[in-house]
Amino acid sequence: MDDPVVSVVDLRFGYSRTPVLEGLTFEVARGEIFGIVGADGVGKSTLLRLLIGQLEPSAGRIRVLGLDHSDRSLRDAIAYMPQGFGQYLDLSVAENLAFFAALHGLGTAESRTMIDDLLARTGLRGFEGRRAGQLSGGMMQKLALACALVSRPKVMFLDEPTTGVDPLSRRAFWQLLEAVRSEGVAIVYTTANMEEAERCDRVGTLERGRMTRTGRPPELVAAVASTLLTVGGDDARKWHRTLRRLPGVEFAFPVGRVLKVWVTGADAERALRAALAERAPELRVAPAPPSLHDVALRELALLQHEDAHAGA
Amino acid sequence: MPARDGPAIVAHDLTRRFGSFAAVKGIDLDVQRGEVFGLLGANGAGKTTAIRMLCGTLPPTSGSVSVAGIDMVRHARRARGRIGYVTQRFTLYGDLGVLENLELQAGLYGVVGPRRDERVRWALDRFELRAVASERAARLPLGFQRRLAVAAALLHEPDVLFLDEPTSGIDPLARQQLWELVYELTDSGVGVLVTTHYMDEALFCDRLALMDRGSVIASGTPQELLARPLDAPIVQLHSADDVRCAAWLATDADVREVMPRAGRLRVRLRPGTEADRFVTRVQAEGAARGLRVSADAVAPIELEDVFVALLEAQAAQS
Repeated sequence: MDDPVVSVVDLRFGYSRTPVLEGLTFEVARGEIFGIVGADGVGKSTLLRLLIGQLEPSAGRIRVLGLDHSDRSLRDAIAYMPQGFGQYLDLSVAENLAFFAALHGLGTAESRTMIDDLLARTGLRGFEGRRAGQLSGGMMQKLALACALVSRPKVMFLDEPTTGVDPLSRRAFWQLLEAVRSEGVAIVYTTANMEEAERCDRVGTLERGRMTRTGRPPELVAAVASTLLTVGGDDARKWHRTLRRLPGVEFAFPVGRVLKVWVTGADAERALRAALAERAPELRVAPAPPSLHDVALRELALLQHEDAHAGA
Repeated sequence: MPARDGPAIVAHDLTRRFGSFAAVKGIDLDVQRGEVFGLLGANGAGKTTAIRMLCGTLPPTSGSVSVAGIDMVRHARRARGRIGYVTQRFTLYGDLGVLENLELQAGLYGVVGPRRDERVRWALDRFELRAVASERAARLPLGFQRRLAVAAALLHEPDVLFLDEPTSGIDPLARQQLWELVYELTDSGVGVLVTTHYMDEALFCDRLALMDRGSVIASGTPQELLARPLDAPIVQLHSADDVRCAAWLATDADVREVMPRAGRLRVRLRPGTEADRFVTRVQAEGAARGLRVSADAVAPIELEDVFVALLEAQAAQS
């Protein structure tokens, strides 16, 4: 078994008096895409900035490729794509790549080979002369990835890289990532989108400063003991408040034309069916295999519920 | 709210040129009251330009728009008063407080006097902004800014609301809450036009239009669009070692694309490939490599598959 590429032990961090991370432990292996998810503002970006050595933890240990995360020799071995764009908008595609190559100390010949290869892989060939500021969102994303790959990193940290990117470009971006991963590069990837999280090999959930759950996406889905049902039919949506009050019903979320209802306990499903048969026989109840999005929504709603009650 | 019948918004042959570049090329589009209409397309397809014309913030080169029966060109001010618009970068006054933002927006829409107070109270309660009413907008977390922007766009009780990528980069709960608001609005008769890059959300819309390079290339209900035949078949495979299986399949001559999804492998084949024969072959070849591969009888087609196919077909034509 290889040593982990990223190893985090009991990491703590806060801004002045506000704790953000309160004891985080996890590892990322070689060739693994590790997704980090969690509520908006929970500290996903902060965690990445700690991992790349841009911030110092208040306690705990971060090792990247076996070295302390702030070790200068890691500079060429890691790549970081912050939210928004890290390219120089006034420079052309080729100039951006050359700039990043120079930054990492690549020689002229090596730099030329590398840039040539990256242009081909990312589909940016033919756009070498275009200014970065004139690229579409998807192209800009590919340029950002190409710039990040210039130094042949062994580990990449990507902060919500596909926000605002269309499905076609998002697919192309993921194909690139999977190619990079298959060469052994470890990728740490934050996202708010659970369809993307489902593409990661493992996913860690940040919650109240801790990594509360890590696992492969199917494991995370299977770990939920509650059952998800869909309630469909004309006007199903208007029943959501009624259903929420039934015993055993955790949540009833209107989704499109149906309700997605989480129930818990052995008899909850039967009770729900009985209640609906009496009051709204036109509605149909069917089991729904939950997606990671369904599971994440339930967890976030539970947290909000707890917070509301703690505050009251 | 007056004029409750008729479509919320109708656009006919709407065109916008910037110099020699036609950003929007003669599109027809209507949003009915109580309907969620999804406008989809790649970055740069012309969605935002179209929305800006529909909202009256950008004059069309040609074509017409009417909102609740009011002509946008001839009666721009009145027509605009029937529209709420939440842009990708929320238009808020960062230096002003939450309450001040709401009061100012109300004034801009001509909502004054007791009605203004009533609407501002509604907004503070409905969007749970009361606790931050005196905070400066720029200092709020993004989630609050989004709520404030939506609240401000609803103060004048518009007939139609435009939401431009309202759920980009927000967590599942915030996304659910945004959609619950959309349902609440459509249930009360408002027409909602939404743009999104998330195709699972597009499924929640009543009707969809897909734009590509300034034109609408497909439209209909999500079910109609999902029923369109795909020339490149999709199969769904399972293997205990999905990572190794995906890497292997990616090099197969019949495979266009491997899309791993929560342990499953959605595999898009090259056009003309027979799905059954492909599955039989990879099962045999997989067994030889020590990979047990199983396949679902029918692979679920997703809207994203349909749109990717449509956009690729367009790109191949040009």
